[in-house]
Amino acid sequence: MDIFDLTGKVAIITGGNGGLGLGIAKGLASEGCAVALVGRNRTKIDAAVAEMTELGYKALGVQADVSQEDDVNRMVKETADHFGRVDIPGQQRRHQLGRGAGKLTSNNGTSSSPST
Amino acid sequence: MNSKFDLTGKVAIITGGNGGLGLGIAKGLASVGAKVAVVGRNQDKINNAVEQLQAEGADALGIQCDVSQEDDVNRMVKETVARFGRIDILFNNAAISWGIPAETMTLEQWNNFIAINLTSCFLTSKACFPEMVKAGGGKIINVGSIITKLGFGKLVHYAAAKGGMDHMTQSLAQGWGKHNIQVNALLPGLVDTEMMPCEGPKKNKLVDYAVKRTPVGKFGRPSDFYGISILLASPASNFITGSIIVVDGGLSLSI
Repeated sequence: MDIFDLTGKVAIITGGNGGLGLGIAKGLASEGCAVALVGRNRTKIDAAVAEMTELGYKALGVQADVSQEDDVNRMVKETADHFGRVDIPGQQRRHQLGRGAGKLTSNNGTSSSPST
Repeated sequence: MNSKFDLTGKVAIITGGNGGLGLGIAKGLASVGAKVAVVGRNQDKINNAVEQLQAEGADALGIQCDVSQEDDVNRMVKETVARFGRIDILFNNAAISWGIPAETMTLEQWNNFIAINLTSCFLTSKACFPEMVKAGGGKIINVGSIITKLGFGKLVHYAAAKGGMDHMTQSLAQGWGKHNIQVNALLPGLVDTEMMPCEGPKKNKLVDYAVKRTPVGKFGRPSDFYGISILLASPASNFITGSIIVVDGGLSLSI
């Protein structure tokens, strides 16, 4: 048994279309995880997915503004529809809120202008 | 096995490796290819540990040693090198514990306790240092306790020793970084061992209360430490040093 094996698992990495997020995605994928790379910049998303695919990894690009609830819900749905499940919701963003995520509504949040 | 977590050809010393959490760590490291030296005082327990490790296919050596004694520690390191040729990984896991209020503890008890729980880490780290430099780098993992995140009135001596280990971890990490030695600490919470039986007739009375409050809803077992031990001993953690990592199922957040 390999305790680091992620075969069959599905991860979402917000900000996964570049930099540290893409590094995280590669690390997870190297252990067998399927990854959804989320970002706003379509060109960066496409390049990241192409890079992952070239390495033989399972990657899906999802364009989403993670400050928008509808966008976020669509992102989760697209990921689940494509891969059949979501196991690892990775948070790779600079703007975070100190509230219980399960109970938080969009009205509790502050509007932000993410820089990535 | 992904190469990031592979320990083939590496040699690890685990103090207190002849039982409990230490033996669990040794099994974890051996499962990814490390040769392991399990160190303890009780020869029967050492023999049993080596037998268990060998039964799982490990290349294991048992060494009797009192880690509070410099000569003993130096001999233990020498024996490990004589058998395996190098040292890459050191787990400072040996510890004793018993509850006693500070106002009734004698100086002799205190000094003996600190010698076994804290000074031992200095002695083993110092003795392994030249071997790790020779090997091109190394990994030192200090096994502390979540007591450094909390407080217990009858364990002042234990808290002092474990607090010392936390800060030794950070400063050793800084001091030995240039030698490619990474030093980290892991802080277990409730783990089913001889020191803290979590089931059976000797079950500690705190167990049910603690488990109920633990986010993961269970007490730890030595095998729960395979992952973090392999991570901190392997190239996967080459960018992690001076970190003090709580491994308690969330217990310290909620107790």
